[in-house]
Amino acid sequence: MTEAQTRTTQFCARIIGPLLVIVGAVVIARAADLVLLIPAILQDGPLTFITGVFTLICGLVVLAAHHHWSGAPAFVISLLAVLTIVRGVVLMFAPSFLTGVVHQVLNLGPGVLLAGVVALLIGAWLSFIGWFAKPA
Amino acid sequence: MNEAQAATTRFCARVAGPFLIVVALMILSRADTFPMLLPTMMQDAPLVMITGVWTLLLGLIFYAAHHHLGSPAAIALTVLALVVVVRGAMLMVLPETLITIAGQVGQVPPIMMGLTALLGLVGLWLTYVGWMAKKV
Repeated sequence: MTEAQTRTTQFCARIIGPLLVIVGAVVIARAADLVLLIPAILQDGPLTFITGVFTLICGLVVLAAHHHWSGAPAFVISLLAVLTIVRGVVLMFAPSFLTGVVHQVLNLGPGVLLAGVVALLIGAWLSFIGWFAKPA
Repeated sequence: MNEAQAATTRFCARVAGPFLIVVALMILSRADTFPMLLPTMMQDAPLVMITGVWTLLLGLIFYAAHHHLGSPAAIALTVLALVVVVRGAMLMVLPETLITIAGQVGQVPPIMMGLTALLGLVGLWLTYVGWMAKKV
């Protein structure tokens, strides 16, 4: 990994890390609300479409800035960029498919809490990489 | 166009190109329901306002980062940035005008399909410039 790539990974980790920490904490703290809120958002066609547009733009910006895969943090950030693009495209093209997936996840019981914990842990790790760890 | 400007053009083309392709494909694949989506969205005033705010912010960042005209791709991107700024401002200030324009375009399928095809072709060209071409 070149020096420029290391700097890009650190910069992206500084944004994505705290974002995932906050999103994870919100999911854990408001799990009961989210079970009702997410299906309501997905039933609102225009809101889903606009969310898809901005999600796609965010994913494309991250991937354009960060598309190297060497090292665990770089791999995770590039993978998150690709997943964000896929989510944006699905929200725009096939929101009903996403509605089905969300219903299945929400019916899993602790599935939402588990997703929140995973996001929180990945976010904490990326925050450490971005703000505290010395570049490799 | 200096080296920094060329790098900015390449970066913006990497984001705008795939985005325009996805938007064009989405309009084509949802041609039956898309003309109804915009009027439905326009009935939701808070959503229109929030969309306008984020679109304007995005357009202003885009234009601040890219406002040079040194090559055909750079001209296309700068014009696109201005279009995004104007669209964001119109969503906030004159949503009714935008509803009228979108409604009129949506009622004439050849015009809508022509604009969609143009979006797709510009997207393909910008994707090539951003990810594959040696010179922007």
